[in-house]
Amino acid sequence: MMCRNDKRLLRMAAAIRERAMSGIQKTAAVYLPVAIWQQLVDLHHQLERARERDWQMAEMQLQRDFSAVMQSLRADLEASERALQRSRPDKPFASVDELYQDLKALHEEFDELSFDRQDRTLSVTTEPIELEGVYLGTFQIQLDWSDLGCSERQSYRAIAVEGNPSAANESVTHPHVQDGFVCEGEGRPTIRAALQQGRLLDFFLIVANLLRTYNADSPYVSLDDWHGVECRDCGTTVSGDDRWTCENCESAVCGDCYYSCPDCDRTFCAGCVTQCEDCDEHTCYSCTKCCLGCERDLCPNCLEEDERCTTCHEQEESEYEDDEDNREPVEAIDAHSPV
Amino acid sequence: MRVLTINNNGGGFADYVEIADGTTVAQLFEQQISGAKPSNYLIRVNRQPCSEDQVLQPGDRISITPTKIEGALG
Repeated sequence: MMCRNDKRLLRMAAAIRERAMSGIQKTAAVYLPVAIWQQLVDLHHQLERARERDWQMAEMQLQRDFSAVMQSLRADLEASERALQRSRPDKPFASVDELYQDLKALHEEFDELSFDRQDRTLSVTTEPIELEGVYLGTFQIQLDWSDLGCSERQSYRAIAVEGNPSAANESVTHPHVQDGFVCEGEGRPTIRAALQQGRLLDFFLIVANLLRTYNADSPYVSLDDWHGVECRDCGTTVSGDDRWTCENCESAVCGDCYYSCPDCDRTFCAGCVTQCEDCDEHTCYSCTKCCLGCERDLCPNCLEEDERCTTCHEQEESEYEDDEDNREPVEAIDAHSPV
Repeated sequence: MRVLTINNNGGGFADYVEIADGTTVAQLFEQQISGAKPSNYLIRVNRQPCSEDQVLQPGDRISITPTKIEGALG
């Protein structure tokens, strides 16, 4: 005999099935080429009459017409069959009994199973999830069953019950969940298939297994950075908007410690910049140049066109002018030279 | 005999397959996902946990779901 809870699950199954069937597009009525068939019947009568009366010319013409209409009929029937094949789903939506069996299994599989008929949601709660030592807590997987079986949009959410979001972004509650939306990755086709066929148990197991798995290659926030990271230069914990990454050594630095190179506009930590010996500006090693005169490390703004500092440049110019003054004009020498 | 297999390993295909009488869960798994370790999958017969040597019965529903499913951006 069915207990009270089983009756409740059965009512849930019936409601889900009813809603799904109202949403699933009904297969279009199969086209039957009745008009062409009637044309064929008429031609057949005419052909018989022509034969009876021995109208040979008419019989030949009618035979050609009859053959052409038969070909049309065959083509229409084939097109109709192809359309029927296309509209046939791979597997029909689950029956009330299958949905009921799934709900019963879900009840045993997960600690909590809840159903809201008004909001059309079905939810299960996972066990506390911990990935690579980072505690993320329990997740409620909430399925909106209002358009099951026909929707392409993500019709469910993974809601962090306790909430241990990443320090870098509060909307990221799991490396693969942001604002409740699950980045399905390789699980996407399987999840879609399970929902389209109304396989509720498979759907919840797949999503739960996805939440129990960490893909280090493509997270919203990596688990290494979940609690924020230490600034390379001052040691404080940095996260979110206050976090900068050195574009040379990829260290994390805080907003007080990062340097922006005035020449290339890139971000660096203190270890990847050098101070200009003229103006004290910090520039990255790529943009820092050595004065060809005094060999001091300088920023590009403190170098003249000849890659010398202002002092060396002026000194060079002064020496050049002195040389020019001491030099005898070439024309004069030439004029006194013997031919 | 005929059983329904649901392979959640890739596209989530659900198919009726013909198997020999006496086929066990482990043997069907090997036919469906050759070379993989059963311990990396959640295998259910008629929605219930099962042992590898459980002999399948006509009309059984066997679902195979990977325990590791990698989410990813994009």
